Amino acid sequence: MNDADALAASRSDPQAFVQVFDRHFDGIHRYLRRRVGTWLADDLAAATFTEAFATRGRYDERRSDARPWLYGIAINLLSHHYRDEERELRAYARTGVDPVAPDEPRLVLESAHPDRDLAEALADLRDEERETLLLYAWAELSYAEIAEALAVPIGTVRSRLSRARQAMREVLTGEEESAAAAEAKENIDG
Amino acid sequence: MDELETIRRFRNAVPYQDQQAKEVVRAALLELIQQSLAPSRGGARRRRRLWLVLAVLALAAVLVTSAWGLGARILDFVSGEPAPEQVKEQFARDLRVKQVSPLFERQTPGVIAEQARGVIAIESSAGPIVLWVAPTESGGYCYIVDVQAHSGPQGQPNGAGGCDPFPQTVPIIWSISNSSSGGAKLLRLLKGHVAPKVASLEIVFAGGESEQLQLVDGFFLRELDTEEDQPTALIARDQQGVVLKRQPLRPPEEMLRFPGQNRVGPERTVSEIQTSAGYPMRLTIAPGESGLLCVRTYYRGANAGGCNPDPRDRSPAALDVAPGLWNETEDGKPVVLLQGSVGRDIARLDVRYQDGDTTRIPIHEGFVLFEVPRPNYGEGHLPATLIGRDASGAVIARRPVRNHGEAGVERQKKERGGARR
Repeated sequence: MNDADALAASRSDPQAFVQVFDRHFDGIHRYLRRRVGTWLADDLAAATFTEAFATRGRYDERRSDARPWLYGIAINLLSHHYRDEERELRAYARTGVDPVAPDEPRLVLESAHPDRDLAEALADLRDEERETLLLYAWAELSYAEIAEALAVPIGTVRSRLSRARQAMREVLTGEEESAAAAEAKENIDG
Repeated sequence: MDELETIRRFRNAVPYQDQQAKEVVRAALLELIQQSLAPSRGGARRRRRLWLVLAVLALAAVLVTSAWGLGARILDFVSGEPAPEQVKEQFARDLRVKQVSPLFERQTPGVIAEQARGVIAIESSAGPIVLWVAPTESGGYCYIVDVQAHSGPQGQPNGAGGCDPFPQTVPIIWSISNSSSGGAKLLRLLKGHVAPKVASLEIVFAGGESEQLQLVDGFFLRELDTEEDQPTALIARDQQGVVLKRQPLRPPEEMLRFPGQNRVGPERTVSEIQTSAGYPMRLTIAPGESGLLCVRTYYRGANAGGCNPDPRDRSPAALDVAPGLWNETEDGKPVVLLQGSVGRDIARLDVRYQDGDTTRIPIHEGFVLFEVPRPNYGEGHLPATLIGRDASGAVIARRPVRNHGEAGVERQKKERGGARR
């Protein structure tokens, strides 16, 4: 039974929703943990599936995979914590200690560690660019799926991803490239 | 490796599954589903918030607490007391020594030494131990653990210290330190700080027993018996008793080696230098779990490092080299390094200083461990640009020498309307 069928069935048999939960909780939860740490991720993941359960009656059954829909709910909840996330990324860049690192006693990265550059570069991105980039890189959603999750046109996804990747390249390689060159790279890769 | 692959590997150590969280949320979801199936009363359907159900489930899993153990008896004479001058001087000294070079001016946590105060003290096997804390300009704190029996001749505190310069967002920040003085019995201390939302903190031991750690202004400090106490977890709860964080604690022998990460092969030295302070410093690598590479630097009894994807694979022309400051708090002999790794196409690395001089930096198996000469600590002579060349001598990479977090600090200053430094 795919997600659309399970959600359709859950309207009369709520127990069927558990299939969707079992199938997608790990992915959603891990995405949230990588973004804001375990503590907040537990709360947001629980709220995501509560909201999904409550609104399952409005799910578009033409979409067999519920991932974009679930990520859309999760991101809407996560958006209230963007400033926390940015602050933690900057703290990581500055101190070498990742506030969201799992199960760690104060592992301190030496000053040259590239993850510190990366943390700062991610913090520098606009919220929507960071969201698009991480849905692509971490959640491994396609352009169409990201567009569905964020309720924006695919062209918008493409341009946000292009800008975000360009910014990352500049930080990681120390090289600047023109917007046209970045767009060309995006079209080849995407 | 392109930028996308680099991003994919960032925070990749987060486990793919958290079975405990999944089971708790699943059970609560089933409870909600059962409620949705129950007939409504008076025509109104009540929606219980998911976390209220989770609270019930979490409370059902709480262990019964036990009485105070060794090293936990709190001495109440020190809480809130202004720190003595020797302690304030130690905080201030940390700040001054980090100002050894403008390279690190913006990296200091902005500790306000004048406001240092005692927070918590315990009676330990080594006598009284006091935790002194000073706030930072960024809203965090710096601390010194003062083992009073080991104090210096003028009463200078002798113990571990550190800073969490920004307001805390994670539930628990903790560390376990091991120290001894003059061949005395090893002193093992658990210490840390909890977020404002945390109302209680429980420590669980391997035998199943547990106890509540006393929190004073969010700080905790407890001696661990080196032979008997095998702590396995810390559990943070809010005012309602809801578990906010269950923090596993690894066995001491693991934490003493590579805290939080394991190497799976022998460690070997790839670079060793003699610093101008007269001490050896060496950089080692070892294979880690899941194909990671564990890189560690050793200097004067301290070490720092971690296990991550091999940094040399990030990009063929990468220059992941940045300034670092070592041993800045002990005897006034800090050393400034350029440290890190280069991509596999980089055959030669040079640093150009602000005054135009250039020095070649040795590369050992792609790693860099280079002490900046002392004349280059000051403005006008600082390391300015890294230049990487390939085997033919062509310049293939160029990058300014910069510290992490500089841009972030400036941005924060602007956000706060120009905070005082």
